[in-house]
Amino acid sequence: MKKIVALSAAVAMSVSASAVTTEELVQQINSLKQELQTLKKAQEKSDKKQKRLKKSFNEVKAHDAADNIKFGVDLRSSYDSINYKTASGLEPTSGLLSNRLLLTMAQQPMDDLIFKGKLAVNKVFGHNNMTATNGFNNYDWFGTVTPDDNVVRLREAYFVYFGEMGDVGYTASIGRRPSLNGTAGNLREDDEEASPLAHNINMEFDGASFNFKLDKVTSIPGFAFKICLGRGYSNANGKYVYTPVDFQTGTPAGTNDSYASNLDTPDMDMIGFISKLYDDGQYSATLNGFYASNLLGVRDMTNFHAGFQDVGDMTGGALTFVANGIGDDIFGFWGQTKAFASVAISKTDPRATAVTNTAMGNQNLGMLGTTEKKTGNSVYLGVQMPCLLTDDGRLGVEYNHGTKWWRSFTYGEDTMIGSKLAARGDAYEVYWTKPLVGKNVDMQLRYTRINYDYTGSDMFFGGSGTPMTPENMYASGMGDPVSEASNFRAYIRYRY
Amino acid sequence: MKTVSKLAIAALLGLGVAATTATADADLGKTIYSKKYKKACGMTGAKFAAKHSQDEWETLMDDGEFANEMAKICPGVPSGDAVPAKFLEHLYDFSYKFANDSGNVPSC
Repeated sequence: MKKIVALSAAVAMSVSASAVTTEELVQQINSLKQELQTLKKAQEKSDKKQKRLKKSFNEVKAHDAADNIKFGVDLRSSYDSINYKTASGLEPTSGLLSNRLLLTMAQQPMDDLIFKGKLAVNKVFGHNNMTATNGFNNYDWFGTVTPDDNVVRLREAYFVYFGEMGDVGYTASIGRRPSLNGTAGNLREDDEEASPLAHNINMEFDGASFNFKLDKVTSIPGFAFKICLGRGYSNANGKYVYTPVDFQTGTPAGTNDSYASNLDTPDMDMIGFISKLYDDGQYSATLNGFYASNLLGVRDMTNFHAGFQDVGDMTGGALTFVANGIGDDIFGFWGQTKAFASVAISKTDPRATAVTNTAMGNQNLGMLGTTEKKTGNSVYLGVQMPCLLTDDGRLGVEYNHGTKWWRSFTYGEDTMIGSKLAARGDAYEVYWTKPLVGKNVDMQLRYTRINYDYTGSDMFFGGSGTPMTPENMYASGMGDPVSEASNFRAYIRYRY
Repeated sequence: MKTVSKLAIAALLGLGVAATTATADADLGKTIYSKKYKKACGMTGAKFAAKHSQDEWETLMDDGEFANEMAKICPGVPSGDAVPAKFLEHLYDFSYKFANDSGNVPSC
């Protein structure tokens, strides 16, 4: 009872107190409303400022992105087990450890202009002078692919300008070309696809390209035509050359004529095209064709210091079909499977006056040991699929065959036993690529085997490229050529 | 040398079996764009991704507006649920990677 009385008294007091301060309360509420309004305005102001700052930050970020070169690193440590079998039955082998560092560069100062570059060091463990055993080890066509010393070499440096002429988009590009590991050949290397068809063009060179996208005017998905120009050899002496010898006459031809032409080895040039006949992002067909003039052949197979000579011209082409996923399902096994099939042809046009001194003391005339025009063919097939043993590995199988007179420009193919795609015979390959640490570290195991039907694969274009069966060559006392070769490679690769 | 070969294989296989990787993938996004949307968008993936900054792509994705934005940019992509949910994450990763302030330069 006492409790009820006390509570009633308290309520009564509070009611009377609130009645007294109603005006004050209203004032306080109004004051709070005003403060809230002020805060709201301040918040709006702050939001606007933040928005402006964000916009400015994005502009700075975008400007900064265009204003700097973006560098990337690609470091690969490899072990190559190299095994040969010669016609006489010898079996030379080697286990080679090497490190390859690619320093990539990219810049896009404007929407329609990009620059890309790639510097390379490719060195063998504990060796710095492979050229002591072969003067061609760092030749310009494959200098960053062949492991040797710790010298930084230029693999790629080019800019691309993007333009439009009505419905035709075009690009123009000049520099050292991104010509390694093009269509189909990039899969085994786990690289981005470059534009050449790796079946017949896979080497380093300097040149230019002009691409025209014709899909809008033809209504054929992806249809494009690219003109490619390249120089594989520049006919010039070095600076301050005192006596550049004319090997045809045997006489000194000049004095102190820096960068003058060497008299009897003209520029080696290539003009060609790469045409996307169809490309819907999944299925594509690409055709290339080329004419290469003044191809090089060594002058004297017993003395490589005697230099090169022009042995003739060559035409060729390839047609490559690629399926980047099979069927409509993108994420499934077939959707993640890539397959390709390619055919190629090459035809020589020898310079009858070219003469190669052979190791036997006699002479080979013309090109590939003959003055007749010769045609060669090649097929190249492959598939790369998800590896069912792991959730993110990829398994690849490839096969190629080249005929007796087949010639390719695949000197830059990264196979330690020589280009498999140049083989006049059969080449088989299986590889497994697997990410290890996110997208930054991966590994590969690869086995490549080449059975040669004829010699002269992957050589220059003169007498050294003469096709003979390994057995006949050995029986003729002309050397002990390799008849079978295999290369097992294991690598770990860091990329960022 | 055969021993070295065996050791190399064993080491790599060991690493290979032990390690795993994950999920949303800008490369897969590029593939999806090429296969499914390049024609409808009428532009390369690089041009598409450069339509926005990374912040802008992020906001669109967070707000669930990525697909609608695709429909705005690409005349051939209808709005609504035309872009399957399973593609969105990969397409977003690709767009973010090559956004106009990313500093990444797409292949040509």
